[in-house]
Amino acid sequence: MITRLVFRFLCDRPWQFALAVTLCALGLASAISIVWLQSLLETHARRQAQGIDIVVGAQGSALQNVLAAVYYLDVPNGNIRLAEVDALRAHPMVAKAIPIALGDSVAGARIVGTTPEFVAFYGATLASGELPAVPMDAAIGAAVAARTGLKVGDNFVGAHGLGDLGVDHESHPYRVSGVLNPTGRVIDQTVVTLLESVWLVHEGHAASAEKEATFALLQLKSPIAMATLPRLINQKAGLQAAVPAMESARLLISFDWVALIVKAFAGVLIVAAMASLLGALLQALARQEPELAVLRAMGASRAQLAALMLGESMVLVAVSSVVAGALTAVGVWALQRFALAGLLIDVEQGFLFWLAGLLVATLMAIVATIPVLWRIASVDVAAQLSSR
Amino acid sequence: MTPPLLTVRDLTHRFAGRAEIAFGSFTLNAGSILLLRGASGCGKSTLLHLLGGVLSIAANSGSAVLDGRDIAAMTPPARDRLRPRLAGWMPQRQLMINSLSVLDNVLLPMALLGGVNTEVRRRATSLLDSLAIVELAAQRPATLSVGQAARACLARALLAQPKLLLADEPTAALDETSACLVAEQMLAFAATGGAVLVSSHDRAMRSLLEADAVAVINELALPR
Repeated sequence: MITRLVFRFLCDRPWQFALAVTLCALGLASAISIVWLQSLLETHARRQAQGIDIVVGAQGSALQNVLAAVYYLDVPNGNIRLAEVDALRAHPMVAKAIPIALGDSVAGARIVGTTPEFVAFYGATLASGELPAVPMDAAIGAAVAARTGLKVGDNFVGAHGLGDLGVDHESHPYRVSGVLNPTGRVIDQTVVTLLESVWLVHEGHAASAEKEATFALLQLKSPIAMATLPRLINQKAGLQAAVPAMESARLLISFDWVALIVKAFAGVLIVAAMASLLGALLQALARQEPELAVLRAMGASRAQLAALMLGESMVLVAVSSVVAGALTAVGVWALQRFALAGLLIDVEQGFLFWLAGLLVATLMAIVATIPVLWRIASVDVAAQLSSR
Repeated sequence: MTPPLLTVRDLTHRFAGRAEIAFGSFTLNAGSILLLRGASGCGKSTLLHLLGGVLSIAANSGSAVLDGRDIAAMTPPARDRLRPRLAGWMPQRQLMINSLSVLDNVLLPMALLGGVNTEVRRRATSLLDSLAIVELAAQRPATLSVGQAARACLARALLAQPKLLLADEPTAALDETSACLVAEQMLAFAATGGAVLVSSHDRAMRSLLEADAVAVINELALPR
């Protein structure tokens, strides 16, 4: 009977119920989205650096080198001699040394001059066409292809820098030789060409005639090499070894307080959602006092009335959680679709965050219902049944 | 000799900041009706609330023994269990749960006990029929007139077949037809061995009850 009354009472005031669900669901969805997105973005950042043990670049800021070579978010400190990269490749502790030459961009996407093993290193495969085999051929990443509409056989010209310098290399057009499948890694956001293409475009701009690259991405043979190789590289003039894992960790640690604020904000949103639930319950109680008095007069115990009120708040939390789950899923999907194409959505992790949100919301709903239960215990049945 | 169903001895009650109300001593046997008389505010409803277990009987404030159970000594949960099987209650205000149908409201006391079955449903329909509102069973309480609501409340009070019916101003503001039907149902209840304690300042109540009296009808006048 109590279960039936819970649903009857809620159905009897649909607008109030809908408003309470909306407020709770928005609070919950925001809190779950914030925590889930933070985790997804951290995972996303780690994935970009996966497999890159050391970034070797020109001397300067190690963090800047990592941001430029791994995430393509900053400008490089300078160039290094290709001979140095070849020497590193031959080093017994090095498994792979992939040179990359940066300098130009198309539609905001970095043009990366490199060797054919770069594509395999990121686990990319061809969706159409073929990998660049001759200078000025380019394979474009999936996100760039989607954004620009470039397809196999199209031509484009690179702009100097990230396109903010207003200089185009119109005399050296690229030809799209292939389009890559999406990988969820940074290669999706780049245009891959041969090192020779970058040298050709910048012929005459270089400070020396010696072949240069911007960075070398190193994969080491063993973890022990991590302890010694960076020191050895840093001893060489003009070279700097940066460890992406360390630089990323330093960056994240320095932003720990941001993560803390974000989590606190998520907590505030859940508390606000539960406050709206309490408001809805108290408002409903004010209207239901005579009916609760009837129930008491007909033999309902205080425990049964408490179950009735707890039932109402649990139904509100359950419906709000389902709506919040749907809102979160749509929100994260939209973010991936329209803003962060490379973001890999971990559905299982999202479900766990949703479950955690549901658990927290349930506990808080129980706490929020306590003042209501106290009010129920003090309902003056005699007065309600006698007054006109 | 059968002991009285209800024995009240030197019962008093005091609301905070107000003078004590003395109800005196009286008994009520099965199959009889006791009409409580008195001016407004003399404590008629309070006596019903004390006997129905909604208000607590304070220590040293007399005793009330219902069917062998001392109400004054009962815990609040035990007093809750008095209703609806031992004491059916028809409150002064014809309150019902608006989100339930009239029939579901009548079934409410048994539903709270988890005891609704075909027989209980049949009894509820029969009660509604005898009170001439069976055709309103599926309607919401908000659509009922005051008289119809009072009759539905009486059906609800009687559904669990209590031993004592507590009726607080059952015919106040009712039309003649409704008042007659309510009085007839009370008499029928008393005729089957139930006891009725009616609080009423309605002068016509006694004559309504006496018109077809098969039960012993007494009157208790509470002092102001």
